[in-house]
Amino acid sequence: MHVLLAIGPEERHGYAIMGEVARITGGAVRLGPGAIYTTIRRLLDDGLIEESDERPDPELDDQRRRYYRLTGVGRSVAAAEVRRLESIVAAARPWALEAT
Amino acid sequence: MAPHRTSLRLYRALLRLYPASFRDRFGDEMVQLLGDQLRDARGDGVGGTWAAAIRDLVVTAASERLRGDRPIARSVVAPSRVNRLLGLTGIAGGFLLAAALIPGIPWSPVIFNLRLVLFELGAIAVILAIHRLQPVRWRRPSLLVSVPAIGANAWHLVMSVLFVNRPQPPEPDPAFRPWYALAATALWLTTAAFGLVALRLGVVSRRSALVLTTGAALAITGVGGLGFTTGPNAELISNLTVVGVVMVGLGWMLLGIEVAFRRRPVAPAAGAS
Repeated sequence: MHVLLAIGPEERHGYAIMGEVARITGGAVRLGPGAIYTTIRRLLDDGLIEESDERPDPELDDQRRRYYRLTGVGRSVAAAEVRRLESIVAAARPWALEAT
Repeated sequence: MAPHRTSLRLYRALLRLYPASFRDRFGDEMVQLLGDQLRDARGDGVGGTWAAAIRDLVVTAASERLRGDRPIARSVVAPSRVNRLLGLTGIAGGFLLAAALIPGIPWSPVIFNLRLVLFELGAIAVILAIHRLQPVRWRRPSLLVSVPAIGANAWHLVMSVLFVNRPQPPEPDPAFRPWYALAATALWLTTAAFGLVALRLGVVSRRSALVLTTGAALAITGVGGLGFTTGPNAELISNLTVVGVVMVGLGWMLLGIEVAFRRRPVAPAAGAS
């Protein structure tokens, strides 16, 4: 789910996904190359993401990079997960934050 | 990536722990990602990055091995948003070029030339999109035909705008018309060359590129001043020109459809094994 949410509305390559996962989790989750690409593989298998033919300018970036983006199904799954997390947070917030 | 070449070579060798299908598909990207991490790591961070990469590799390679060496389900590349937009522009431009030949549409000179402007913008968009799709090794030959084709389309676009407020045929306009003919000649020649090279490089289908090239070669016969449009075969040449222009419009539409909608198989990774 971290990778799915890190890709978000953009087209991102592996290193950008890795950086975005670290950013949105405040550095708590740091994925390595293996974790990134085994997850990407599963998301590709499930049809939640797809590879884009976006290629960077060879003078600005490495042309071998591959970019990934959410499919329609991927967006729906991400939206459902966000709603699920929101409802959990909404239910827990009144007492969980007071307890600390 | 050069300062860490030995490290990355070692990491690539360790990728053999993954199943072959996974390694072939993602190996290059994983090596590149680790290279990015090492490049951005500072001082002691290099050692930490390596240690984390090895831990990550051992854990994820084991999980992939347990899952088995299965084929990647969705090994296709979808058009990027930019290419989709460029392709749609090309489809619209190609359609407008061909639409001028639909009988019964009362084209005024202004609308007629606005149509040419939109067609040329569409052609430029598709040329850019196809060039963006070329792999690194074909970038140079692609650039050699893309730049002249974009330049010729832009030149003809400017001439089409200037043409609107000038004397319309059959009124003579010796100061302008030869330059317009030159721009048209450059347009069709560079379009034909672009189609030929696109046909050879293979990012788009041969059929679409062939339609474009053939159309441009036929359309050039209709350029005033080249001598084809006068004489006993004038009517035949006129018909050939019309066919050529329609084919060029169709060619840009087909190419636009390809760059906007066609999903391509993922190219095998060059360095992975």
